[in-house]
Amino acid sequence: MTEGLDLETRLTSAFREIAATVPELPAGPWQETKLQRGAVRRGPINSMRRTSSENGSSNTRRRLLVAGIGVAAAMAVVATIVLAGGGGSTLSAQTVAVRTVAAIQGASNLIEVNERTIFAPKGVEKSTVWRYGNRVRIEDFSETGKPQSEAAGQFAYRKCSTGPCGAIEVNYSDRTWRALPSIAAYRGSNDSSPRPESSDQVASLVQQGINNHRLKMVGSKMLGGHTTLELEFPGAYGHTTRLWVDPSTYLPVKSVVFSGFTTTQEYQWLPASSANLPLLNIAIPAGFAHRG
Amino acid sequence: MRVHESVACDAEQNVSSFEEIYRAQWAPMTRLALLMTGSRETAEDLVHDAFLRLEGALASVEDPVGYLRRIVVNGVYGRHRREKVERSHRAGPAAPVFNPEIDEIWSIVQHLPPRQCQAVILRFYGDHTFDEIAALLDCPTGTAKSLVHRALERLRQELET
Repeated sequence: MTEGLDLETRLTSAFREIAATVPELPAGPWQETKLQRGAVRRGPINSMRRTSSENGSSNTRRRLLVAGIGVAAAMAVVATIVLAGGGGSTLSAQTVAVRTVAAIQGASNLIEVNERTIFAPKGVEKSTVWRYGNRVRIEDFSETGKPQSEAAGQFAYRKCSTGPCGAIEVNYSDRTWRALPSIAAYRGSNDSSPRPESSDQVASLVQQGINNHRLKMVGSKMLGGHTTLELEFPGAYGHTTRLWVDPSTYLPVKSVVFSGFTTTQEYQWLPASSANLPLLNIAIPAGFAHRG
Repeated sequence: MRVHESVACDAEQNVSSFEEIYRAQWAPMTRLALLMTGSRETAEDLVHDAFLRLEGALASVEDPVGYLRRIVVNGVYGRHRREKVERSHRAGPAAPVFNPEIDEIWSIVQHLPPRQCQAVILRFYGDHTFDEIAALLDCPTGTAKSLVHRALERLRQELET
């Protein structure tokens, strides 16, 4: 049926056909059913179906698993090292990691500038992100510095307190601009949530390392004339992350993720001053056409 | 010119009730879980648990659909880990049966490493971007790209033999 099509199209076609075996929920009166253990099952009456989780055994297994994780976490040993050039201060990798996550989460008063490079087999992809609170500006570029064909140009985004407000995409490849409902639309998705930005992703990786107790303090290293603390931790997918943080703020300075595709990210953290806030703005260049 | 400030803001965002979310999202979530687990019963089980968790957190969740999707994806992965031995002996999806090509593709997808399986389904069924896949799988974007890349390589090899 789909022979002759490229693999990606065949996959999409196969997935859709399989997924179509799950019908939409029938319209009908709503029912709440009290289950064992006090849980409430809800749904249209004629869609009710007893599932294996309702027999209690899977929840028991889940509780045991959670308890096991707790015990394992309590038994974990944190390695410590004496930081070279750090005035003899001793910090564990776990401590640095916890402070780093807290620093990233607490950096809402700073403008984050992140330059990301992904070394993929088909080429090098680069992007720069400026973020302050829920406002984001993104520039995506190809290896040559020219805008990429499918996600080109500058991008600005802001979010009000109750939800995404909208965004502007300026496309340098075809010299057009358009208004979009959200940052997700720029990334080709209907999802209303903004994409995870650079430091959020790093904070998540560090948190994984904290949870797994697999952090390793490599030592201190000079980066750009500044002393940094270097952490290393394996990820859940066979990748390894190296992270350099500023010892005075614990904010990331650089990260490298070694996986199938190596990703480097370099960070700057700027005060949200009147001089720096315009970095989040974009302007539509003269002569660019509006695209509906 | 501050272009971003000229964008109209729709501050009146509707907050869907649990029932509305359930009615709208039960089928999409079950389909996603079915593709990832190969079992309709397991899929419904996972989605049921996901809705129970959503219900408890609905008031504090900004993006209920995204939250739900993440619980389902994490639930599939957790189940894969617990059932690793059982999975390694599984011949493939038992039913329903599709045409031979679809059966073959799905069988290969089901035997991919769990994260590759999830990544390729999120990419080519869910039409998610690599950043979104990374967020759902809690991994770096480069790793998400790598997972999809490796899955496609494996699929090409298997389909050619």
